[in-house]
Amino acid sequence: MRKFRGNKRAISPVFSTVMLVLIVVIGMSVVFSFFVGYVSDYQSGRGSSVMELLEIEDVFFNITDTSSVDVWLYNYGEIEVELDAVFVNGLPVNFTFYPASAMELDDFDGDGAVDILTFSHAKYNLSLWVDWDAKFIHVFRFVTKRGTIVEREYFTPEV
Amino acid sequence: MRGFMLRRFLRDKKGASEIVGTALFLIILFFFFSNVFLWHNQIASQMDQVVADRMNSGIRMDVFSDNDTIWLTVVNVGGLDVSLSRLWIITNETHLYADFGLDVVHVGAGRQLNITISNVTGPVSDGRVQVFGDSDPIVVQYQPPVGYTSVFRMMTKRANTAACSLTP
Repeated sequence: MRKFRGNKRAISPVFSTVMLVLIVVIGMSVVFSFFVGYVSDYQSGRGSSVMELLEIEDVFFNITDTSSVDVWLYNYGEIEVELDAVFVNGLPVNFTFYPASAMELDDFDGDGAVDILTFSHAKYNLSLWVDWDAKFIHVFRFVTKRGTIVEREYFTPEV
Repeated sequence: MRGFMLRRFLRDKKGASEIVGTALFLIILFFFFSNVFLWHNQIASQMDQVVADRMNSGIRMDVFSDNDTIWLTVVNVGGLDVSLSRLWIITNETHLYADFGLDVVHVGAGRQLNITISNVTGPVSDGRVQVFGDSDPIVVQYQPPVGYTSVFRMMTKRANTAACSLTP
């Protein structure tokens, strides 16, 4: 250590060039791999939101159960859709898919959440905070994992 | 004076590496981001086409009844062929549907398709009623409740809808 510190001679130009090249190559490799990962995440995530097309095809206010609503969604886009959040009249609600429609759903990207495949119909049950017969108009808002928002108004049936 | 400045500028090698490095960096950045831009442009064009196809494939639906026979007429009022996806049959108490499958039942541009409602009660599995046939005549097994309004709503593969109602 003392010898290293005491030695005032510089490292040779060849060795320094090799070191610089190595540092640049390693640094650029790290930047490149980060960039590739970032781009592929963007392409499969937020960037693909333009390919999502979702339609609320039916809303069923079951008169035997005013605390929940059944909703059918239809994916007519070019990519599978994963539901991230559902809001009814501005309030977030719990949603569960019906096992009976499980054939039309799949965990396509392997992240543990259910995906609605393209040109598939999926049935969900929404648990409301307030019974649906307390209000005449309900605003349903569905938000997908990629950020697509589908919002519609529905009238409750006459009970 | 000008010639002296130019010669001095060309002879001075200081800062050349920074310029070369910056140029390379910009080229690499351009290469990366142009790929993302081209990809985004491609899918945006693709989805524009999907939306345009949807706008050009509208349908109209009417319901007719004659004694015990009820039938729906689906008319393609767009310029593109239409593939039917699902028929919803809605009353106040039930929401049933008939699935036509994917790309099975078609209505050509300017053509119409008749769907007969069997007027016979059939098996219903989780809201799904039975469908027989995949071309004219298609039969949907459903009996509309007498005295109540049944709304029939057709949905195409491109998510266009048309609806009509009947009160037997």
